[in-house]
Amino acid sequence: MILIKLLACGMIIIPSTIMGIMMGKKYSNRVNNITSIINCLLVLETEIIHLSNPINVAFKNVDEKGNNKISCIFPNIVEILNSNREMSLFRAFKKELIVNRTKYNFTKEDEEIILSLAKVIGVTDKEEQKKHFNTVIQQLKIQRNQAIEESKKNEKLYKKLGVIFGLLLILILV
Amino acid sequence: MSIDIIFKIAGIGLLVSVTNQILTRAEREEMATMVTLVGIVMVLTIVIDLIIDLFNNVKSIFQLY
Repeated sequence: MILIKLLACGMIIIPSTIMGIMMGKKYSNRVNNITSIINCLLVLETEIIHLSNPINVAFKNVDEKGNNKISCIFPNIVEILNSNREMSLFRAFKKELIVNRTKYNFTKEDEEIILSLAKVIGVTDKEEQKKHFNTVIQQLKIQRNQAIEESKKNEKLYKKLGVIFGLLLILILV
Repeated sequence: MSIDIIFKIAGIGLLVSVTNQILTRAEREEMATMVTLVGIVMVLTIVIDLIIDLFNNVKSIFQLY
């Protein structure tokens, strides 16, 4: 009987701890993803401003050079654009970010900043695009600093809360 | 009345106070207050039957009908 009780306790506390860790991971994932997207945008800036590559080639190169979790946004957008020729780049970006929202862990503000860049890529001249790239990268750096602060505060909190919630559940049920 | 219920209440009190400390340190005072309230409600639901028994006993002992 004690063995079954212990087993049941384990079955409660382990998932609740894992849930806490997963919820805490969201915050550190966001920091990593913002850092990755800044790197990708720097590569994209070089591709567009200095090498003057068209969007589809530039996006594929970003994926190859970036080689991280976030850089897969760019080939996905190329795929979306290829499958629907009438769709604008802005709408393709929006669709990709909304569909994979849980994967990227971006907040609404992060998405808005990225989308503000998507509005001007390929529409304005080089100088204008360069200015927009700089602004967006600066904004993303500010967002990253905020994300780091949030992750410091919340990551440990959610881990501890997961364990405590499991213990509380065991205490009530036993 | 078994002694288990006292340990249960003590355990809930312990966990609620630990949660309260963690949430206060994370600057989430509103959540900490909510957790304390939830703890009080949980303990009250556990002891409510005992309180009813107590009042019934008091009534029967002093013949307050």
